[in-house]
Amino acid sequence: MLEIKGVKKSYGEFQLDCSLNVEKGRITGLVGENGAGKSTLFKAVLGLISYDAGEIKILGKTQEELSEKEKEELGVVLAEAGFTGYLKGKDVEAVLARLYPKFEAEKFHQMCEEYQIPLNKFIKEYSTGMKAKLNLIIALTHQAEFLMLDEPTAGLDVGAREGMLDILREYMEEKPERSILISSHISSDLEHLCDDIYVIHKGKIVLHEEMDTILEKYAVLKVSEEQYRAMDKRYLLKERKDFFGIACLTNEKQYYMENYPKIVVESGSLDQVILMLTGGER
Amino acid sequence: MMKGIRGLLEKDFRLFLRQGGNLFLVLAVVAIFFILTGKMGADFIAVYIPSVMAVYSGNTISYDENGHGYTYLFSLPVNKKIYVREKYILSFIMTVCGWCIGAICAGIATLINPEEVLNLEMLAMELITFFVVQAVAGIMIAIRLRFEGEKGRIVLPIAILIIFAICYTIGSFLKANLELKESILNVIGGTGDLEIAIALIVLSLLVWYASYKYSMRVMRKKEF
Repeated sequence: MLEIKGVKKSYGEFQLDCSLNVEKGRITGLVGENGAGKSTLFKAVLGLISYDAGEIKILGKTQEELSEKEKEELGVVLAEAGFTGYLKGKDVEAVLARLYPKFEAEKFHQMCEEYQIPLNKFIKEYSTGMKAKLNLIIALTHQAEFLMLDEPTAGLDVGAREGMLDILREYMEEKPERSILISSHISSDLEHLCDDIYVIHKGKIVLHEEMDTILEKYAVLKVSEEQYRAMDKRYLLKERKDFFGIACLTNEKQYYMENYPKIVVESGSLDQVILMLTGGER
Repeated sequence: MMKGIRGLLEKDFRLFLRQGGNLFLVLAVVAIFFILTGKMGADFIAVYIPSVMAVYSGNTISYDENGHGYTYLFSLPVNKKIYVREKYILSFIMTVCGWCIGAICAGIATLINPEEVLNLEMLAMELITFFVVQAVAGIMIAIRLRFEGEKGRIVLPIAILIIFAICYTIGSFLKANLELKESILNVIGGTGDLEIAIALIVLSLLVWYASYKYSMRVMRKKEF
């Protein structure tokens, strides 16, 4: 669905240097702190900015080769972007009906009703959460094959975020060959949704791993300096000094649990992994 | 391509209905005022309404700029070429609508005021107005695309001031040089009305085309 090969883009001191793949039938997550380069990457994929080197293929084609017909197969949510606030929800519906031959008006109405989006109000009068929900509804109601969602849960409370993630799961269940690329700086949103995860830090991909592998094999080992000196360091990915000694990130949790039973092992959560990868010393 | 243009036109017409409705009302009131008081001739009304309507199409660009609007629009099945084309089509449709309304108002003015006459000259002027207004709207679109946000709002009145300043300077220069003025009047006097009308239409079309090409170039270079 999406293939990004060595794409480079410079903005003064910031440098984006990324490779990433989204396969058919998979939900791929992109996590990183604010300003890590997530939105820049999305813009590069959509052809909204040029890039200095590399290649991007979306639905097997470069942006220049991508026809308007093929662009109809994309459902996009971009952080803080949407239709002008001077339109009403029902105006958006009319515009979508013109733009997308496969627009599902009934589903649009049903979802707006379910998520309490007032179609008779101006968008500028919507809350941040309502705008986020409307943008997601727009992306989901024209039978897109590939969803590109940049921070779709921004501005939503916990309940609404969970609801939104459920919608995405249902969307994938409808047609398993669909794919999603979703970014968020809230990693817990992606932990139980994605098949694989890319972690981006200062414009570079610092980790690509299957979500199941992270949850099963990754862990943070909490060791004293003495334990650290004695332990096998072959499977340590990152280390960071802490008040108790040293925190080490490993992708071979079982090995350390079996060979160093006295070591404190905190099973991997995506949050821990990101924290270690973006703040660790090694 | 047509789907993208149709979608954008739908958006802009709806924006016009939501936001430009008041403008339309003011236009109508002013036109009725002119008709009833007879302060302005029917020919003025016929020019004034399409001018305002055409210029409005450039104004829709500011709505697209706000709140990362461009970024969002180009994530839909719309590209930069489609966007520019749609703005020019919108200005054409608005001019046609304005032109029709202006012609109707001018017709009413001639019916109410016996001094006003709906003649061939007036109809010819209306036709020329249509092309001139298109050219002006094209320039406005190009300026709004070139200078974003606040800059656009500042540059537009400056551009109008510059045009007035140039006209004023030429006028003053001609007043000071009576011989030159007379020779120009002789040339114009010697040229038939039809030739002048054709020249104006051709010039308008050239300006319109140049503004379109320039808008395309500006848009191609833009990043969001």
